[in-house]
Amino acid sequence: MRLSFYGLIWRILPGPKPVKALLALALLAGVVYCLFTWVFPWLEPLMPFNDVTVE
Amino acid sequence: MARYALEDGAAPRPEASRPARRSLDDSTAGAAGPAPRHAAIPAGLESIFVADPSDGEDAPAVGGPAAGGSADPDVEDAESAAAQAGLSTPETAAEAQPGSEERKGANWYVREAFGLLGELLVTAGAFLLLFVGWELFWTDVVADMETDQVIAQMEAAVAAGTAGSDTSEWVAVKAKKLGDAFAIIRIPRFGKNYAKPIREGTGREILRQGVGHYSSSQDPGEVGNFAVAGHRTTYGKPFNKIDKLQPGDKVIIETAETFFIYEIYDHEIVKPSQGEVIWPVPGVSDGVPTEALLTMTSCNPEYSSRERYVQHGKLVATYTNEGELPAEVLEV
Repeated sequence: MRLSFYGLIWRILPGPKPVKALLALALLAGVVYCLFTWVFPWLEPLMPFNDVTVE
Repeated sequence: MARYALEDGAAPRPEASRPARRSLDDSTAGAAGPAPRHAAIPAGLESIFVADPSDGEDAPAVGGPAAGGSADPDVEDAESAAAQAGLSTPETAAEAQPGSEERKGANWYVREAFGLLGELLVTAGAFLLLFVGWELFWTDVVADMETDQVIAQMEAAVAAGTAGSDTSEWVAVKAKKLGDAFAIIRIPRFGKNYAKPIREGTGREILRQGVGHYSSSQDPGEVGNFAVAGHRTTYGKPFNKIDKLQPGDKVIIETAETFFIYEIYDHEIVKPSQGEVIWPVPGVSDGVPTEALLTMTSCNPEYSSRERYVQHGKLVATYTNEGELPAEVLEV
C-alpha cells in the first residue's frame, strides 16, 4: 500500500489496463472542462492583470 | 528483497543488540562485495531515510559522499543495505525484521509523505499551466469566434437594410440597453479587416465579448466624449496594438445609420483611478464640450493592470451608412 491519490484513482478504475487508461483520460477531460468552464472564469477576476477601464 | 528474509530466517543472529543490522551486513557482504554503492538514494539523503536516533554514532560516517573513503566499509555496507531495505514495501521489510518494524514504519511514513507532496506539487504545476493556457490562448479562441459571428450578423443586417430595426441583431444607438451591440469599431492601423462589436457598458462579461462603451460617456458622434474600453490581452485582445496608433490614424465607429470617422490626436498613460480621461472634456471638471471626441482605454503595460493606455481622437467626418465606406478612409 502506497500513499498516492493518483495510485488510488488507478486502483479504483475498473477493467483491464486499456479500459483504465481510457477512463483516466475521460476523467482528465472532465476535470479540464470544469476548470475551463467554471473555475478559471471565477479565478481570473481575482488576478491583477486584466482590468482595462478607468474609474 | 526476499533474499533478506531467507538469510535472516536461516542464520542465527550473532548480536542480540543489533539483529537486523548484523544480518543485513552479512547478506550484503556475501552477495555484492565489499563496497556496493546503491543508486536508489543519493548518499546525502541516507541520513534522512535511514537515520535512527539509536544509531546516531553510525550516521555521520555515511552522511556525505566524501565519507566513503575513510569510513569503515562494514559500517557503510550495513547502512547501504539498510537503505535498500527501507525502499522495499513495508510488508516485506516488516517480515524480514520484526524487531525493527517501528523504525521502518517511521521511514515509510516519511517517504510516502514526500511522495504525496510530489503528487500535490505536480498537480499544482499542471493547474497553473492550464490556467495560463486558458487565459492566453483559450479566451482568445472563444472571444474571436463570438465576435466574428456577431460582426457577420451585423454586416448581414446592414446588407439586408434591417440594421437598427427592432428585429435586428444590430441595435440602434437610441434603443441600446446594457450588453447590446450597437456599433462596429474599425481601425485600419490594426488591419484591413479589423472589426469588433461595441457593446453598451464596461462590465466584465461585456468586455469578454468585444469593446465596451462607458455608459456615462456620450454616444458616437455626439459633442463630448465617446469613450470605449477593450482588452489589451486575452478575450480576443481588441486593443492589443493600442500603443501602435499614431496621431492622424483613423478610427471608424459604424452605427446602424452612420460612419463616424475619428482621427487620433494624442495618447497618455494614466493610473486606473484617473477617470477624468473619459470626461466630456478630458481632464477638465465640469468642462463644456465643444467637440466630438473619442477616447479608448486599455491596460498598460501588457499583461498588467498597473496603468491605463489612453488614446484620444477627434471627429473629422461622418458618412451615411449605406454598407460601403469610402475607400480612402480605410487607408492607413
